Amino acid sequence: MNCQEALSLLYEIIDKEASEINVNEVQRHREQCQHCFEVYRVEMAIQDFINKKLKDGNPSGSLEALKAKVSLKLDEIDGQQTAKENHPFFRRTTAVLAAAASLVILIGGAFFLRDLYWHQTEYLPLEQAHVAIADDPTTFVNDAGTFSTILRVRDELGYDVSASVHGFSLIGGQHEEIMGVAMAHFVYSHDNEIVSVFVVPSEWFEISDDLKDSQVVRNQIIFFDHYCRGCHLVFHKAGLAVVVTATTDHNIELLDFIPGHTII
Amino acid sequence: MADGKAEGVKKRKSFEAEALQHMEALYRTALRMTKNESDAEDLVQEAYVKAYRFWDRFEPGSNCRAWLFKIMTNIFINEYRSKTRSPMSVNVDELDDNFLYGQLAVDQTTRNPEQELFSRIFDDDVKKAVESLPDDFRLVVVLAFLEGFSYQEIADIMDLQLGTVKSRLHRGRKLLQKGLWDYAIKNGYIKGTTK
Repeated sequence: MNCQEALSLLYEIIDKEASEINVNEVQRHREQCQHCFEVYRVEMAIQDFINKKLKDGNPSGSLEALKAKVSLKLDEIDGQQTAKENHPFFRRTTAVLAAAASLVILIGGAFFLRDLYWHQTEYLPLEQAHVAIADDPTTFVNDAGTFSTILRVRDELGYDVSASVHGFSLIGGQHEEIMGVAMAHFVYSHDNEIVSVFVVPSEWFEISDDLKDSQVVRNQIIFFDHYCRGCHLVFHKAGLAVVVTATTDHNIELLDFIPGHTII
Repeated sequence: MADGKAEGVKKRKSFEAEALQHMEALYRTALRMTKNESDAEDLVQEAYVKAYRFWDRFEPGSNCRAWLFKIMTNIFINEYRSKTRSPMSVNVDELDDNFLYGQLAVDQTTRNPEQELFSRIFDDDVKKAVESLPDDFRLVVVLAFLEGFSYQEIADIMDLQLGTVKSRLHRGRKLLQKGLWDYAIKNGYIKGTTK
């Protein structure tokens, strides 16, 4: 092995990537060649110096705090998963996506939407309505009932139903009675996914405290980006409240399902 | 339901046992990637969140550390890189191989001429010199020098050809040596003092 060959293997040897044969041959050459011996020695010293300086002196104080933060994040993920597991409805919808808009034509009594969002173990009428559709979207057909529902939300609430949103097509809409409140339910689907949208007059809509924590303002729209099992987002504006639910793809921009408020 | 919960606890336990021990390494690399503590912390957190979500895809017994670095490197490249892109100030091809040695080797009779040079390169200079490398070289240099990953592991982490890793590391190393030389000069090293 000559000097040129020996030096061409320098960094492979320093990086411990050279074959044993090459390592041995270079070793033999170095023992006989002072120049190569010195190049190798200095380059190895430089490499050790660099590696050591890179490793040493990094802020270790913040590591404990970082560990705690990561733990919290993991707790959050665990919490979401536990909630999902506790509700078989939402597990069954993983292959489907539906969008439904429902118009509240109220039937008396103090009824607050926040009750629908009672997290822990309570019965969730909106989610249940959504899941029932997700389980069997064929119950929704784009027929005369859908048409009359579209007209009612438009005329009474000024809510224009979109025929399609980001590839999701409206597959139907109907009035439903949920906890004594009549609602119009529109369903959108795309592939096997379903998103639900619920529309409510604001006077029947009260934001619960835990939802308030999730208040977000975007494009001058106040909404509550909230994860509660499948119920994902609440949209709120004067005179009208819209609840959008999606059970599967959490990356869907649910706000875009609200006509006239497409978020860029 | 109880099974689901037990499964969840098991998942968390195995993740904590295998993945969390690499946080110090991920963080020090994140520091060199993002160049500041706040972004580095965010990057590490994002990496762990993603890793946890995909934990069922991790093959038990395979290299967890490399897997975590791959996740973190991907996040960095996709989300952070544009913010920290640095211009290339030196034409690497004009630099000689064994750059520092070439500068030092003024007198073969001096023993350990590199020691005087090292004494003029202060603790943070090496980190700063690494951080001033262009992104493509910097990532490879950090993964190799700071974390000791093999060429093949780096190729896997960054989805690069082996040859690309070698070439980037070679060029990165030359640039780094040039950067260290500049720091040494700035800190008062006088060429030839080792005579």
